[in-house]
Order: sequence, then C-alpha cells, then structure tokens
Amino acid sequence: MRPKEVVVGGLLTALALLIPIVFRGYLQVVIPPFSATLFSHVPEMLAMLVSPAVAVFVGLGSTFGFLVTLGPAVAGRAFVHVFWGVLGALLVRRGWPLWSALVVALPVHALGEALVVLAFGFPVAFALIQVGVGTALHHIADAAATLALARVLGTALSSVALPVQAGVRPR
Amino acid sequence: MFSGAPFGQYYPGESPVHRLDPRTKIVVTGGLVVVLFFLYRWPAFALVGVLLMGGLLVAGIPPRLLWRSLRSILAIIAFTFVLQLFMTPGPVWFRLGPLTATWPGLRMGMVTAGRLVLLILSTSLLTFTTSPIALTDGLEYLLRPLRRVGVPAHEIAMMMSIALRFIPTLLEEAEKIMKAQMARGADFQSGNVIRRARSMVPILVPLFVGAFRRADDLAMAMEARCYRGGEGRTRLRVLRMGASDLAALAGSAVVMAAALVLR
Repeated sequence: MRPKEVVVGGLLTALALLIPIVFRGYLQVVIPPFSATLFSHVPEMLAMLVSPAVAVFVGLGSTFGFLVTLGPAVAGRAFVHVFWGVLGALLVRRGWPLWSALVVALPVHALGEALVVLAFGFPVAFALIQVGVGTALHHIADAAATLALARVLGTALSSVALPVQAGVRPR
Repeated sequence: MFSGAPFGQYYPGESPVHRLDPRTKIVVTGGLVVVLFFLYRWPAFALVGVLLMGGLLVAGIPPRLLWRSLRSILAIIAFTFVLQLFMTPGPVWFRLGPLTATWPGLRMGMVTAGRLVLLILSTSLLTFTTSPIALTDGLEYLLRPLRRVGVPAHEIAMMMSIALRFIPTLLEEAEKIMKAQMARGADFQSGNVIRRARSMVPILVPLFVGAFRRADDLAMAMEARCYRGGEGRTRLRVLRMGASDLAALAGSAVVMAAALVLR
C-alpha cells in the first residue's frame, strides 16, 4: 500500500470522526432514538474514489473512533460503512461513475444499519422503517454533497498528485 | 468554538488498570461485549457488573465521567425499555390507553437496558484507561496474525495514528474557516436543515481541500524518509505482557465463563 493511500485514509478517517462533532449542533436530524448528522458519510463516499482498501480503512477507522467516543451502538452502525464503502469502491475501480456506485451502495447501507439496530434489541418494524428509511434518506443527501464536492476537489486539487480520481467519472 | 468538543475519553492515571497492556484490555473488552449478548438472567448481569465496577473503582474513574458516558445513550436506553415493555406479548401488567404493558415486556426491557448499560461501561473502562495511541499499538499487535491473509495491520494502525494526530489540527482549521465565513456574514443557525446544510458548503470545501493538500505534503515527507510500511520497522514503545496482564486475563475469563453458566 502506497504512503499516499495510508495518509489520505488517515485524514479521511479524521474527517469522518470530526464531522459529527463539528456539525452536530447545526446539521443533526433527530427522530429519537435515531439521529444522523448530514455530511457524515461524505469522507467514506470520497474514499471510494481513492481505493477499496482506503474505503475499508475509513470505515474501520470511524468504527474504532466512534467506539472510543460515542459507544458501541454508533460504532456498530459505523461498521456497516466498511461493506457499502468497499462495494462502491470496487464498482468505481471497475469504471462505474461515482453516482451509480453510490446508488448501488444505498440498499446495503440502509439494510446494514437496520440489522445493527436489531442486534441492540429494537423491534423489526422500528429498525426497518425508522433506521432503514432514515439511513437511506441520509445516504441520498450525503451522496449529493459528495458528488458536488468531488467535482470541486477534482478542480481544486489538479496540481496535487493524490491517488484520488479527479472528477466524478474515473478512468 | 469546539474546545469543549468531546473527542476521546482517556482519563490519565497510574492505576493498575491503566498500567495493563492495551492488548489485555482490548481482548477482555471484546470478550465482554460478545458475552453480554448471550446473557438474559440477573445473576449473570450482576457478575459482569461487579467485574466492571471493580475495574472502574480500581482505575479511579470519577463517577461524573461515567455519568457523562451513560447520559449520551440514556434516551436510547429509555426508548428501548418502553418499546420492549409495550410490544412484547404476554400476561398483562397494566394498560395505558391503547397500550398494554406486559410482564415479559418488563423483563425484556430491563434485560436490554441492563445489557446496553454494561456495554457502555465495558467500552468506557477500556477508553478511560487506555490512551488512543496505546489502543492503536495494541490493535496493530492483535491484527498481526491476520497479515498472513493479507490484512495490512501496520497500515491500519498507522492510518489510525494519523487520524488521531490530525483531529485537533482539522478541528482548529474548521473553527478558523467558520469564523472567517461568519465574519463575512455567513449564518449557519437559522433556517431549516436544508438551508443550514447549504450554508455549510463554504466550510466543507476548504476543509476537504486543506486536508487533501496536507495529505500530499505528509505523504511526500514520509516517502522522502524512505517509509516502506511495517516491514522491518522497529518500535519506540514495545508492548510487553506481565504477570498482572495474565492475572487480569485469567480472572476475566473465569468471570465470563461463570456469567455464561448463569446466563
């Protein structure tokens, strides 16, 4: 694994942990006990553009970070990011545009988080409707932000030789 | 602005629990998390509770810190309890309008709430007594056997160290960008969530661009110093397990086995 991938993975993990802390007061949507902070999936979605390994790392890193800071329930939900992140990254690597990889990752993300909530003892209807649908809507909002940000990053970072694929449609 | 942001729970100390090898604490915590999902009876919960409370007492963790950990999930615990109380079928305990509380619901609610509290206490004991860097070191050692199947243990630990190192820097940068935008008249707090999300874009873009530029600089510095991953790399802090670690592992294993017998 190249040092650049390790470093980008580390910084995206830092952003994945930081966004829920910084933006909690402004962008948190709470339907008790479900809560979500808009833009919190953006680092994982951008990691898809770097490589599958970085997508796994960012997912694992945010799981570990949330376990340290917010406890096992949030960490369990963050662990699901590993699966949809790596799926999206593999699709991007095969030449799929980012938007379609994000669409394919959506059901895995929503169902995965619902299953994690079930493991914590919540009823099936609640897990599927509130957490599953809530996560799907959150995924759509963050995907839109990621697509916009990927365009900007592609332009702004054209002089910086990073492993991130410039633009929305990779090679 | 974010100086009080709760990141990391490490409570520095010199207690026997603090001095344990991080691998011991990770293994015991992982074991407890798994065991807790198999417990349904109070004696088993009490046994694990005594082990955790003993650990917290020995570590000298102030009750206010414990309360802060539990307070964050109090709403989830209460909601889970109420759901179990009213949605589990069985003999009726009392009625509240159209809702019916049942005795099995009461039991399931208490079991689930107890399990959540113990889960939080077990992970809190780990994070209160182990610094994030020690945790990543421990994690790297524990993941080493997986290198044979291609898991890059060193890279995972390095990435986590970079993340933990850069969180304060990025936090400071986010604060600086927000203040700069506010000085230009940006308003992040009024309007609905969509409006607020749109107002955050001028913060997100420079934050991500800055992070990627920083990543480029850091990667170049690492390559210039011939960084080649974990192969043949020596360590400043070498983890060593002592008699106290073996005693803690054995004692915890006995308590977990007893809890499973009583489950």
